[in-house]
Amino acid sequence: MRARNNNSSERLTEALAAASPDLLRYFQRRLPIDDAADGLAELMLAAWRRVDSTPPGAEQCRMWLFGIARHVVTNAARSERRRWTLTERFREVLRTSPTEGRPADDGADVRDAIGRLTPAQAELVRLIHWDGFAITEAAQILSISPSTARTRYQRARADLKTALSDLTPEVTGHLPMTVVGTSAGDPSCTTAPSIPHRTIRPADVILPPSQRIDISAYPV
Amino acid sequence: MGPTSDDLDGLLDRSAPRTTVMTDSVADELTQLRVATSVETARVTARRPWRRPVFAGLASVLLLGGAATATAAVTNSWVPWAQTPVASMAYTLPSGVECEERIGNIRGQDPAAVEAVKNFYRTTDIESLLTKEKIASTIEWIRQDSNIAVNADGSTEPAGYGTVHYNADEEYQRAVTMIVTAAVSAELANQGIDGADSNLSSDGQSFCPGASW
Repeated sequence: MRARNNNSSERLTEALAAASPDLLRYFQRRLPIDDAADGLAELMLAAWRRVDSTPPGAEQCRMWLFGIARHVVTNAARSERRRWTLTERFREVLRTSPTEGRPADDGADVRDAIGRLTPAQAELVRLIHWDGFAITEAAQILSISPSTARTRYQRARADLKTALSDLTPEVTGHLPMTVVGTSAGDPSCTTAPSIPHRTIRPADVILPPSQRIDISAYPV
Repeated sequence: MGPTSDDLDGLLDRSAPRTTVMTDSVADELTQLRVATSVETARVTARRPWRRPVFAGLASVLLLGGAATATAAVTNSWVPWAQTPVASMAYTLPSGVECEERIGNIRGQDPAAVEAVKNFYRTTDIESLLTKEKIASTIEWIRQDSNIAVNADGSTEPAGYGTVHYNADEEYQRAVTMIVTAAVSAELANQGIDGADSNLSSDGQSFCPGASW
């Protein structure tokens, strides 16, 4: 038995407080708009479950959290997104909150070109250009060596240069334009109603009524 | 001719999808989510002890019957409702043990919902739901879920796949239950039954002679 370590809890609390805004943006850049809150919830739950593994040092904690975030996104691609009850209100807040960045259609060709890279190359490019990580930091998040990251990044750039050869850059040499507006998320997300079901085994095994199965999050 | 190196950097930087402005409301939600997830994980580790380790999933609050013993497992003693079940199914655990599971005791406050569930079980070939692919994907989901063993003294430790507490038969049976239950819920959704009846529930009893849980 390992009790939750106070120092670990404090480190994780501080790390999540500092990194949550960037982690939310990370999920919003990779998941459908309604899934970002759930992705962040999954990350936080996973982090709290491993609280005793929280690395020492703020920067190491931050890298650790983004490493977990990467796994959440990877898993999301393989299975249906879970809807956490505790994110219901958060999803609604995100739907009605202003957004920032280039207009949604802007950069679509580039995003498509990134999407045609290998998954490993694409994520490296996203970490560097969308999330602002240095190549060595991105390497750490992806659990690869810096030299591998550099090689992979150069190949990705070469592929992107070819893929984007028909695109004329509209502006160069200045900071990205910021447009503030309201997102147009679909508020009609639904969750199938659930019916609790208990399975018991013979003899003396009777589950208390409160221990029901909430299947609303099952990937079925 | 492709974009120059600077052009390419600019194109890539500017291709980032839009994100939410960090308003006070969003910041508050982030704080609340951080607290809620901390409490949620702490709550799971504090669930009541069982006589032997009990496995509690986080999203799926499924406590497996830790009190069952090998002796009990070979005793075919169906509880009263299971002697006239609404449905039954057979499946084979990874260990090779054959299980019979009976479903019944369907109850709730909304008669229409109760009837819909009964009708589903009466008219559905439940075993056809348990395809290899569905079992595999559900087990994959289970393995991504939180699994914590609660010892008799209340202490906890990681459980599930890859730990000393892992039991492939238990995992398989949990997947079976999840698949069947989710199918019922999907049918209710199709019929427009919105799940407002929070007391709607059913029971299952399994008989797996030779199983060692």
